[in-house]
Amino acid sequence: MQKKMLTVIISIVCVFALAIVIVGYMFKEGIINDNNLFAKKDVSTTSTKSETEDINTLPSNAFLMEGAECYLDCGMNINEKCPIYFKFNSLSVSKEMGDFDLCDDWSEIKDKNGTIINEYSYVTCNITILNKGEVDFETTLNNLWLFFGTNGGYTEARTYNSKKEDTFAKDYYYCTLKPDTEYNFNIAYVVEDDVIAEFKSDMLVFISFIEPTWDTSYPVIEKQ
Amino acid sequence: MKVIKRTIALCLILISVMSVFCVSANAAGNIQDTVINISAVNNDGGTPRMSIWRAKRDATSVWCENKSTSGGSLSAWVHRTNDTRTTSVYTVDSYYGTWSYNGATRNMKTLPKGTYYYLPNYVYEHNYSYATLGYIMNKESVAYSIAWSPDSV
Repeated sequence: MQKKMLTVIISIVCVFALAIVIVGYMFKEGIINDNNLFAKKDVSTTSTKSETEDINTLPSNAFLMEGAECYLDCGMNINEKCPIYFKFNSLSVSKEMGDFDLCDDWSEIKDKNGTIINEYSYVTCNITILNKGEVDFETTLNNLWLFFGTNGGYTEARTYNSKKEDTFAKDYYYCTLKPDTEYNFNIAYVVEDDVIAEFKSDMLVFISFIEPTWDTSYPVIEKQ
Repeated sequence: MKVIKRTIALCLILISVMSVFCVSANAAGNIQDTVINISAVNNDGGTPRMSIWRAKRDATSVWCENKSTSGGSLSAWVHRTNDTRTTSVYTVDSYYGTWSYNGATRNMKTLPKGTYYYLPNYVYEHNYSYATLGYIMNKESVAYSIAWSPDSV
């Protein structure tokens, strides 16, 4: 009798454990998942042109439309100007991996090749950066944010073409921009397909190497 | 009896095998640093500031480092939201009380230059999706460089 009871108890435990494992597998494969919603808001924008000649009037942060270029002043100390040139060369949308490192899964689900298989896509922004100052400038590349309009939601960078060994390290995004050295980065973001469809022509890169806090008074730079 | 034992043994084997596929090795937090550079010109000091929202992925501490080597100390705390559009200062995480003109009302951490600290918070536990750093630069007119991440493991 006792043996039978023990057998029944063990069987129940096994079934329960199996159920937990099955539910976990369903979560992992996206059969059950949660949604990550980004806030959206449409606000009219004003655009300005960036003045590259007068370094004293350069802003520190700016929104760039695709194809736009500008100089920003990233000087840190009094009387130290550090003009840095940025160009937002191109934006592309794909579910497949591009020239950037594989990142871990958040709300998106990827197959073994890094291809996203649920309702998210990679948005890749190719950006050229050139430090025209006289000193090194250290920053992190996740200070390049992808905005949906200037006053809407935004998302942070998920990966880039670092070619670093450890792409999950705490210092993954660190970058020292040396004077007169040109850098070209593919910064990849993961965005819901619905958001991409709504803001297809209104995605901006917000450059905030100096005090990242979004502010609608920063200029929106259009392609010339 | 033998059949039952074999069935139990098979179930255990099946559970062991399936558990390998159910655990994600990539369930990492958002631990990678963002650096906040404040130029000396823009540092009016003493004023509570907030950085830009970042995704909070787990219940670990927010991590913060005052990287400045020539500047002053930093007072830091955590904010939380579910709406990245908000710029409201009244989003202080409950561990830090509420907002005031002197920063958060309790548990603010002071970081001397060159130090880092793990900032406790209830952002994830209270079902908020985004966190940011609230901070006060305690010395004016010097450059600050602050590294932070929403998660720490």
